[in-house]
Amino acid sequence: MKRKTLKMLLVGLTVTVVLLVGLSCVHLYDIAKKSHENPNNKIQLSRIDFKEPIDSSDAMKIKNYVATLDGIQGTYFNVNHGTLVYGYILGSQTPENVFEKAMTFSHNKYKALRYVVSADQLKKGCPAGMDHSLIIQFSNFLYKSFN
Amino acid sequence: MKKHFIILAAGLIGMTVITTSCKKKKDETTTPTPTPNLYTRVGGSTMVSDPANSGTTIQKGRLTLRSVTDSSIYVIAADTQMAKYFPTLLGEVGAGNTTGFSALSKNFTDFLCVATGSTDYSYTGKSMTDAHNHATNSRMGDGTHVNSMKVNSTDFDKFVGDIGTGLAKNGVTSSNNASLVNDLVALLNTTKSSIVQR
Repeated sequence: MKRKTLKMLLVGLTVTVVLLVGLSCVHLYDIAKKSHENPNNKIQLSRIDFKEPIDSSDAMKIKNYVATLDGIQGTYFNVNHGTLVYGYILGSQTPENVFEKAMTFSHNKYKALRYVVSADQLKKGCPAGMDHSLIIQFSNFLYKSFN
Repeated sequence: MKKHFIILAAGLIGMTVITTSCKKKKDETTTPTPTPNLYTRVGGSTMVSDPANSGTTIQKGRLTLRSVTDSSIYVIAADTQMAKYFPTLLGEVGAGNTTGFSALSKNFTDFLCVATGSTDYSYTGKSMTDAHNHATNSRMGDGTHVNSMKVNSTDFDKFVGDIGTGLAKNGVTSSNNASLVNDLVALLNTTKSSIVQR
């Protein structure tokens, strides 16, 4: 009788644990799904820094040209700071390609550099997008497994 | 007896007249219409198609705030004065990872939805004080320069200015909607004392 009770308790406990783990996986999958459905999820920003004053008319021409490139989702040119920010869909464009095309388009009229964030810089400031916790990695793994 | 009855009747009639008049005056006093909150003013909970996610709908208020947020993020990323605070915006991530743009867009949109009065969303990030204090967020400074990342008033005002530019990119300016611009700026300024720690 005692053995039977223990066995039933063990089975019940196992079923409960399996159900809880299963529910957790469903919940984590749902979190990852919502994240991947975020329309901005695949958009990466990049920046070109012009190292000399740029004519505002030329700035708009370069900005408008970059906006026509494949995968570009948005552009903004701060003429005072000499910075062109553009958003592109990850996998459909590269910042190296955009920079090269922008310089060719402008006939290399202005000295410019691709702005690259250093590893040290990434350790400070706003942490948005830096959540690589195990839970987030696991939920992304679940999402990719079923998609 | 008759005299007492007349006095009592007069008293009752008088009281009836008085209470009826008071009630009438109370009825005539109009209850002021509550001013709609900022979230309602930017679209509220009316569902509309999400232009960025075909086949789905989104609350109009959230769509407005997301559009302003996303436009503002481009402005902030192009602002060299803001670079040290937002390196993750331009830090390149590998495929499958959340971009800094995506994360900040969601977090800040959630924050604005809650701050403007929506009850359908929640902001789960750190408080503004904790997020900008090295003691509770080690990213705001380093071991030898704990104050190096603390926000000062000039940088905060620049940030608010960048949001204003983001608003203008969505067609909202002081010229065509001064009250909305002023109210949004006032809302952002309520966070100033928490964020400015230098």
